[in-house]
Amino acid sequence: MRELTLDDLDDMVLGATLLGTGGGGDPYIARLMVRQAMEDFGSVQIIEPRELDPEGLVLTTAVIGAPTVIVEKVPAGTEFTTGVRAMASYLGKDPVALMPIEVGGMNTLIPLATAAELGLPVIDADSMRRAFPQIEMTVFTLAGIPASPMSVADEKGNLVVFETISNPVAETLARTAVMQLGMANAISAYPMTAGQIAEHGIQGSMSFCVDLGKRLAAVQRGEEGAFEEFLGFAEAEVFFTGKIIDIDRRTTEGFARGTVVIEHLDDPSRTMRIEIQNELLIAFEDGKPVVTTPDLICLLDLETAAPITTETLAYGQRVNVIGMPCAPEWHQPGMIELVGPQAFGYDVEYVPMKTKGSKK
Amino acid sequence: MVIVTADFARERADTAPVTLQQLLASGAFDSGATVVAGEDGLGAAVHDVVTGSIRGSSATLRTEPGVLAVLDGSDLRSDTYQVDMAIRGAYESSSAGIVLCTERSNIVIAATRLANKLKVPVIVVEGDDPIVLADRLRRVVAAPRLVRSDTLLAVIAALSRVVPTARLDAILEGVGQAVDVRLALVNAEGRLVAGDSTATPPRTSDLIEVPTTTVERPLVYLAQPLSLARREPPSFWLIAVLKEPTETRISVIKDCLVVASWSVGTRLVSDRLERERDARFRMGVLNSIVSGQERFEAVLLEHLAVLGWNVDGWCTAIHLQASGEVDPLRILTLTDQLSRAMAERGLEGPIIERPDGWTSWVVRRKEPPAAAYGEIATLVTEAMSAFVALAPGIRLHAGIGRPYLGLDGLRTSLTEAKEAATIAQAAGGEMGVQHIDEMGVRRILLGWYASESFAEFAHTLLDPLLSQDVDGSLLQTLEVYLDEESSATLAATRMGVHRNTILNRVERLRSLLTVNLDDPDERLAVQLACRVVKLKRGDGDWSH
Amino acid sequence: MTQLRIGIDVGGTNTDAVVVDENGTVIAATKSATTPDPSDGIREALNDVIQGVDKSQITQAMLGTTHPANAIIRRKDLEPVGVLRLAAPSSLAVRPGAAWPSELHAEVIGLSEIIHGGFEYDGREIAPLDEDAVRRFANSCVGKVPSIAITSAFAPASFDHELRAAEIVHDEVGDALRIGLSHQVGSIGMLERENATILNAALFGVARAVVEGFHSALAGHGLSVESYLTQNDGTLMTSEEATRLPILTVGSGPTNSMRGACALAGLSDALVIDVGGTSADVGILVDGFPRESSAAVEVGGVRTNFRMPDLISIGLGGGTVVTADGGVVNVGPDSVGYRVITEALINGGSTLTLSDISTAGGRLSGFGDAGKVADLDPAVVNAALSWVDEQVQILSERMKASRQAMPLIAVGGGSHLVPDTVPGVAEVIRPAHHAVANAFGAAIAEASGAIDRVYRYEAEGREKCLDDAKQLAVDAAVRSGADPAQVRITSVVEVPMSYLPGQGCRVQVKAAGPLAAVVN
Repeated sequence: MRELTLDDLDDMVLGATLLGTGGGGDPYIARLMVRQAMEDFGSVQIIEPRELDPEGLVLTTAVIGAPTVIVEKVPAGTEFTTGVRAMASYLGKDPVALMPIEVGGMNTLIPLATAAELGLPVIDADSMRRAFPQIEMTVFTLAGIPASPMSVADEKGNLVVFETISNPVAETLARTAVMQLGMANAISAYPMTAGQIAEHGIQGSMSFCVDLGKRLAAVQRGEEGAFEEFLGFAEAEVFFTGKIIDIDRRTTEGFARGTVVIEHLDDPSRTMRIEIQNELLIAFEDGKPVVTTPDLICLLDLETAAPITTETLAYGQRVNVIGMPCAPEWHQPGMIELVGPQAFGYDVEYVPMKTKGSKK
Repeated sequence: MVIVTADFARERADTAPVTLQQLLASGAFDSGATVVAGEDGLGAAVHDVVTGSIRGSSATLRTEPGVLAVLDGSDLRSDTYQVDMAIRGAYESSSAGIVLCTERSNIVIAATRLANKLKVPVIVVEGDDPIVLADRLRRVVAAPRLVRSDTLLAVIAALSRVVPTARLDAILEGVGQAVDVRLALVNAEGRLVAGDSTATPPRTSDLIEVPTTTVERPLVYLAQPLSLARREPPSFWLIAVLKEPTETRISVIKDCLVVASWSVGTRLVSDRLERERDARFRMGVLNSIVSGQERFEAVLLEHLAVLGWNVDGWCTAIHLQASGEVDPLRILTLTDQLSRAMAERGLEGPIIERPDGWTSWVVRRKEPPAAAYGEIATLVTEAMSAFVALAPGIRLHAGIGRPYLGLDGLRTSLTEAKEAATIAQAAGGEMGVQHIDEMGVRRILLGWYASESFAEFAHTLLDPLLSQDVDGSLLQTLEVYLDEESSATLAATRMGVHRNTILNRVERLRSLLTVNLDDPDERLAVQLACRVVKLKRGDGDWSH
Repeated sequence: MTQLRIGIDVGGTNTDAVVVDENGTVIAATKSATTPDPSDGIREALNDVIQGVDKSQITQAMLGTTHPANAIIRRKDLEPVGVLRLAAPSSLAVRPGAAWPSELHAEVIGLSEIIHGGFEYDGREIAPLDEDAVRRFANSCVGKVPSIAITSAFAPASFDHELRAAEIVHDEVGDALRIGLSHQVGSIGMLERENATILNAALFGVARAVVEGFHSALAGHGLSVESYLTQNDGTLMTSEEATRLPILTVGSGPTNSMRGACALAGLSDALVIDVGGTSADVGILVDGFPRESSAAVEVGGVRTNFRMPDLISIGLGGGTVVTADGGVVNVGPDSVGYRVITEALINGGSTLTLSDISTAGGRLSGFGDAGKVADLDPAVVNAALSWVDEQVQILSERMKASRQAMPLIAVGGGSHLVPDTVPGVAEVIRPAHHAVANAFGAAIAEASGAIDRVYRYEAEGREKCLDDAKQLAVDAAVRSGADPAQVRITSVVEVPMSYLPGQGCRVQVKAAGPLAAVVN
């Protein structure tokens, strides 16, 4: 167990932006929320699942909705506590800790604010260690753990608790509720015991996020060897270095799809295109997929090493295209069907990233 | 300019395929097409057109090289990366290019850059149905093959219209009209056998065992060889003459010649079989005449009537003995030629093929005067000269019998003619005619010539010489030396060699032979033995 | 009859003034140092520039000023503000003024409250407006702050609560409080819009002083003319509007510079690079207007989202320091700034600057003594110049919106550093007399109107929604003084809002046109 510091928070925002792979919602508002919650309620403890009673209940909380709505209808904070309390009440058991569902984007930080208010620790684990747009896209689904019962709550006190037969149905029902509740709501799903999390969760993802942010911050400060250290830590690889020569945004079926085209700086005949669907999902070089979801694609500004989100892509930006292997916990049967390119409607095979093999 | 190409290998069926550039200019893209990238690859040949969706295009493109893929891009709106993948797929399968039915705006710069880099042409067609478009394109791409199949079908139709009894001329005319080409069938000498006389090839040297193309601008001669039997060298060539043809037309007509040659060959083979059958029948009748068995007189007379052979009058038999480059088949094929040569000179009797020559006779109502034999001999000599001139490599010796009355008389005359021919052949030379009346003392020799026991003896006598005589020069030298009354000078003159050569050879002969050439009896025996050995060899002359 | 316009630009260092005729020809121009009290500078500049000009022909006067921007940056003359947010129960997790620099927060945010009100994305109320709370808050503000900033959730799409709240405040306290409403200030992004609205209200006093100074200067010369201020996007607002929306002038300096430079070069679409002593700014004009920044803009350390010209700055100027240690040539980021006049080698100083490099490389002449850099290592000169060329190219590339080559207009005291050819740039133009580009830009500014709304296409259809948006923008431009016959739509941006049902789309439309001629 350790206390989260304000310095950690800044690193976590940077790490979460990177793990958002271009999407995941801007962690900026979430950071303001955490600061305010820590001012109002005190600090937050980060804890390992094995430090808890294996039978202890762990609840999650996250924002569900549209990023464009959340910037206008800023959370109240109460929707998260309401949602978590509703789950505890429904299950007849009080939680011993909270956990982020998604370490990547703004949902990395949301549970911290709630945990401060509820006086609970936050578990150093999650179910994605990157951003994904749908509730069922978790390692828990692969482990056969249901998303339900789950709650969706708004800031006014409206609340629904669902039981569903499958995680995709949970996604559909939650979306429908969110439409009616203002598109910026709190969701609490995947109630589990600390023991289950220790077994099935992605371990250490909060620390990973902070450590990643710390190393990226060092790169941004221009420290010597920092970039190599950053890449080594993330097991990441620079796939391409170039300037953006085209951005093509299209909207179909409610999803903002797009393409960004990058010309290599040293060899202008080399072209990379990255397909966007909320997040950066597939990178092609010269018509061949080179990095594919669930592995992470991140764009870093060549000069400032700032992660570039899909909203701020601009012509002429000079970028490093970084490929980062997804959390090793993803590699189990069913991964490709759940979060591979085809799960997003792309007619592309998953191309595994080479890792050092130091992990399972 | 003359260019002769031996077409040893069949060319690809689709010669001169359409390039993408030509396809664009063909008007098949009637609702307009834009080459958005990969212009450098437009020269590629298009062998086929396939269709599919841009989704999963890799399967569509996994075909043989040179394919143009027409892809439905109607669902491309949000997934333009598939264009890049299609370009990559087209590059890896050496496709001719990609036609995309989609909006121009769906081709983002990544795709155009990739297509330019890999030189894969990308053509965008807006508002056209990919299936309909592919069909139009396929027609243009397949046009050379369509012309080919249309032409071949016309050839087959023309051949099927030819009645079984039709002559070769009718076959060639029918095929020639169907494909608008002059056609001729020629033999190994390049002489017209059937068809258009203006279509004979400029040179017989182009008639070889494989199809040839002779370009003599503006004309192009195509020669398709025909063999009538397995392992037999070609004996006929089907010739087509084209004026300023395209490459495609040449290729198509070559195919047509192959097809026509099967039909022509079949006709030639069946002609030959008919001839052989008829010849066998004629020879059987002839044998009956010669054997003179009274019992079958009535049957024989009936056969004579069927064959139209006249024996009603004074019959003068002519026995033609062929040697040199002959075999029973050639005898058969040359019969018509001989028949014409004889008929042109009033010798209008039947011509009956034998394995080693022909037999004929002429019939006169009245008994010819005694001096008439000279007249017939002259006519036969003329006819033979005319014939041999057209049949190189053949040596021909004729014997003529005396005129006798009726069938029995013919039998006698035939025997006389055969004897005379033997004498004529024994005398040597390219050609010779011997009338039985002129034989005189030479008739004595016939007994020797006909004697099997003497022939055996002759061989034994000359065996030491023959076993050493590889090229026949010793035997020839011996005969000529003896004929010239043991004059080395005259023999050298006749053989065209130096006298010393003759003397050397004679010296060798003397040592080889166990006989004494200075003894008149032994000398005569040796001279006779030489004649007999020569006759048995069927070799009328050895001065070649 | 000829109609003349006066353009005045008050910058940090200089105050420029020009008189132009209706064809855009410069009739008169002056340049003087900015005075501690800007009104004095305005008055002086006006004195100079109208010498010999027929005052009766002057019909309009335009002012571009950095007063408000400087007030924020220097935390000078700002007034405290009462902040009222209409969004509860939403947004309680982030209080007004969160993440503001603490000194600025203490100075500006007098008191704040989040009350019930505001709208959902689909136009429904989050909660009915708590009118009693508005009254209570208004009364509590009186005597503590001179103005109030009201922000409601989704105000760009639905601003009824803001208008109603303003009405209540006015009914309750009359003119005791000046009122700023967020939907007039900023666009989507409530926290940023609220910040901008607060800063705007804090500048009311500054704005009033500037406008009054401007008016009195004009009146002092007997000029009874229409007066305007230039705003961030290069268009005009009336003096009256400027006192309500002073925040919209904080970016007008670079905008006037860019528009002026472009107009002097006779272009409407170009890249503009302004190279000073310490830094170079690159911006882009499309159809005569600077492209606006899409990312959040920080002003005085506060995230805002109001319209600002999209500029990229790097440390590249005439005073940028160059070092060469053992073959390694390093350029910047240190700079001697305006002291280049004394510290550069060519001016007898001891620091190697880019001005020295430029002189040695033949780009700069007539400034200092070229002989003092004659024995500079050519390798160092080349390395430094190629760094400069690369930076200029990178800046141009990043600013361009497309692959098409565009002209690049080079202005500013350090513009000699800009090479004559830049890859991706059609031509490099150095307009004559660009010294008064700012004032010229102010003088030629057009009136405009803009809207930024969320539409739901499903209800009315996309075309109808866009037509509606365009008409609203045109109306707004005409209200601002544009000639109705010459108003044109200058930009339409549709941002589809993912997840939003009913085909929700954020539509930004801007219209602009020359000021209508004054009918006397």
